[in-house]
Amino acid sequence: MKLSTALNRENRGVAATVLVILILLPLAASIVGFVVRGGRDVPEVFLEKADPRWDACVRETEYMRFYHMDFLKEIREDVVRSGVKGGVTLAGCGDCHRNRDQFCDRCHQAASVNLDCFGCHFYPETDAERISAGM
Amino acid sequence: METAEVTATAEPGVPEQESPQDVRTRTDGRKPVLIEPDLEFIRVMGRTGGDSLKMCFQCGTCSATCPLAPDDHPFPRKEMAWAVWGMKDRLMADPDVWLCHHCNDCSTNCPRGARPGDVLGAVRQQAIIHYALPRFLARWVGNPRYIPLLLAIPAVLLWLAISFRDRIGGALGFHVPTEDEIVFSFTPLLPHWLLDSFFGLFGAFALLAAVVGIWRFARALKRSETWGENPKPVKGVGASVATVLAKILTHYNFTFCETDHRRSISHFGVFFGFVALTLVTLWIITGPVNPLIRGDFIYPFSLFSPWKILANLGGLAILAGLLMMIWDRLYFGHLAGTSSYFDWFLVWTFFLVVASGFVTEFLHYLRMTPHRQVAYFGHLVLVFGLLIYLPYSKLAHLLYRTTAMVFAERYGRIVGEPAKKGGANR
Amino acid sequence: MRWVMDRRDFIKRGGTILAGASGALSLPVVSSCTPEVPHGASTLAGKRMGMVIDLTKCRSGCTACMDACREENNVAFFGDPRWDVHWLRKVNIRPTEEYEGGEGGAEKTVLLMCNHCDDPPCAQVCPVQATYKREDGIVLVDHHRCIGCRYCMIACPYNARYFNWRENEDWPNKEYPKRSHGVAESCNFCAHLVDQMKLPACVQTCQDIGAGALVFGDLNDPQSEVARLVAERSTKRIREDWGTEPKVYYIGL
Repeated sequence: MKLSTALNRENRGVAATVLVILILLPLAASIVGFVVRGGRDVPEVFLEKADPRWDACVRETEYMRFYHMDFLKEIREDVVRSGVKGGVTLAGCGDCHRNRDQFCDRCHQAASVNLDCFGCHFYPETDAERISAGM
Repeated sequence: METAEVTATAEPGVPEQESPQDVRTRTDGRKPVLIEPDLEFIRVMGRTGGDSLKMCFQCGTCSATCPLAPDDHPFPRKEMAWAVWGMKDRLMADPDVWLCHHCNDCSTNCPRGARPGDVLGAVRQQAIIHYALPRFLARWVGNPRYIPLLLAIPAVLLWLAISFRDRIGGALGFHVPTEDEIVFSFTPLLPHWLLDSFFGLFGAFALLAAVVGIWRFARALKRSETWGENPKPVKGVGASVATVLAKILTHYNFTFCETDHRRSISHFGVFFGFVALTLVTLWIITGPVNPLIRGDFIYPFSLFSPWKILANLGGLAILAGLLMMIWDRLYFGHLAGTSSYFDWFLVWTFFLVVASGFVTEFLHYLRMTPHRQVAYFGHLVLVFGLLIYLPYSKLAHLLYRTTAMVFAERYGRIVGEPAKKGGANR
Repeated sequence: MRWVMDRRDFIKRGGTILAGASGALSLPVVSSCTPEVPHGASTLAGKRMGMVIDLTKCRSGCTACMDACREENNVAFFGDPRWDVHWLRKVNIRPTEEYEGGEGGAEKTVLLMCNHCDDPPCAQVCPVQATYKREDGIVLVDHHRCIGCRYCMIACPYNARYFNWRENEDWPNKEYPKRSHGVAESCNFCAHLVDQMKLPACVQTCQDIGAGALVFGDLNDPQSEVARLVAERSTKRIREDWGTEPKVYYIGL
């Protein structure tokens, strides 16, 4: 159907109704999402018990949530290519965030963002795995 | 002082001549009209699109061809007469000026090239200036020499707001992030609360100007001559508003245009895109107090978030509509009419707002700092130009045309309907 | 002045003013938001890490160094020469009639590994600079960047580089990453241990079992054992005529 036919006088009412419905769809989606979630929030990274050696995470939660990819990349460049040691490491995160289930996967599964760090780097999925690895 | 009576002649069919004294002392309600032409008005109109005004010889072809003009007191012939005579007051209080949708059926058929469509466009610009508060802002918007000033005002204000952000935030009791703390990606530049209060403050001024403008216009309409003496409403206010909203949503009046039929399509796109973006903006503003919005705001939103999809589609619709408008105005002037600076100001401001919005979005996804902050700043300045200058630019048609349409609906001045329904023949 | 403008003029004038004004007025607002990660100083400058292998002390039939390397670095082993990765390997050399010179006709077992050349051909050819020479002379592969083209394997004249044809299923040392399928690798002198001031796994194990055939250290440091051995003993590097300047010296080759 040509645009000019779709928008001629007889079809205007239909066109306008369709557009109004489309515009209201995100509102409906938000309402439905709210109801389905039972009012709960975004998945939070779950920290059961912090390691006593560290009094705080290297950066604030919001910073990490937005920048952790860039942050890890910069550390990687420093450590792997420049040989700078003694700073932050991915393994260091594991001191407090003991397993992937409550740390990385929590958001990454909800956001459906694939990770391929763990084909090479060891990060246990559960606490039991960490203990059996002796770490 | 007695004035001698002039006796009537004996010829039949010739009306009795009245003396000026008798005219002034009539008791039957017919008032004499002293025409005081507003010459400046005529000159200004000549500069803003109504330059062919004086070509009109009142043949009435325009009123006959206008698809939107009702049978009684049609337009635009009488408006052309008033404009030639510089009768600004009548034109400012005339709803027909706003019932016109500039479809150019009249200009195309005018035998003298007087272009009534463009003349009415110039009259509308003068009406916006006339009802604006403060008036000088509307004059500035209509004058290309004031572009740097009009841009400088929001830029400077925004820069001041950002520079004194921490002091303002402290005084208002908002959390001021420290150097290390990065909450939202734009927060170091412009926290949510600052953005909302900035646009809220200036939006309030614009809203006040809009309300005052509508009220002034409505009051003038009630007293205007178009309705005749003591008109009676045929519809309630609520029903009129509802009908007008439905007509606006379906662009009903536009469908009667024959010459510039393309305008209804381009305007449809811009209109609904604007509605979509406005809805998304209002929704996001409610973020801090809205339980339906999940948790903290993490910018940028996912491209697959329904709100993001709606916003992007809305922006694309506006761009498509505006590009069509620009194209038509440039290359189809015989259909779209002559475009004045006032027209271009709105088209280009709108276009740059949406374009800068998309640029900011791309830069934000690419995480290119500080480019994205610079783009966002420019975008905000342009948004100010579009929304806060709304009562002073052509975008004020949002206010005035709606008001005129509601009045027309209420007083039975039906436009565009076939003769059997009481409207013009089509 | 006519205000119903020529469109060209309007676009020119309006566009320039808008662009200029917005640009000029937004310049003061530039602020940076990039994450600040502490960049430490590198302590590797000036070093040249090398190894001396004393073949006279190397025990025949002993695989201690190779096993230790596999355990420490999670090197893939399937028991199939098509897929196995070797960072260290022992090769039997038998001089033939065509070979002229040398020290006699006896069969020798030579321990081969990446020679960490000063002018590494693998680093030269890597199209993405995944293989690179660190400041202290150790040649490393950045497995995040490696695209698996295997050009380095062609370039290495010592055949010391291997490719991960299959996913490595074992993970003996969980504190060190293993390599996934699709990247090339070679001995890296246990750089992670060197950074902790420890010895590579092979060197440590050889010492522990009492053979002491492998010696590791900074060739630039005249006090180190490797520098002394290179200076005092008669050492040889494999195919020095290739000009790669390998840093693995052999005694008794």
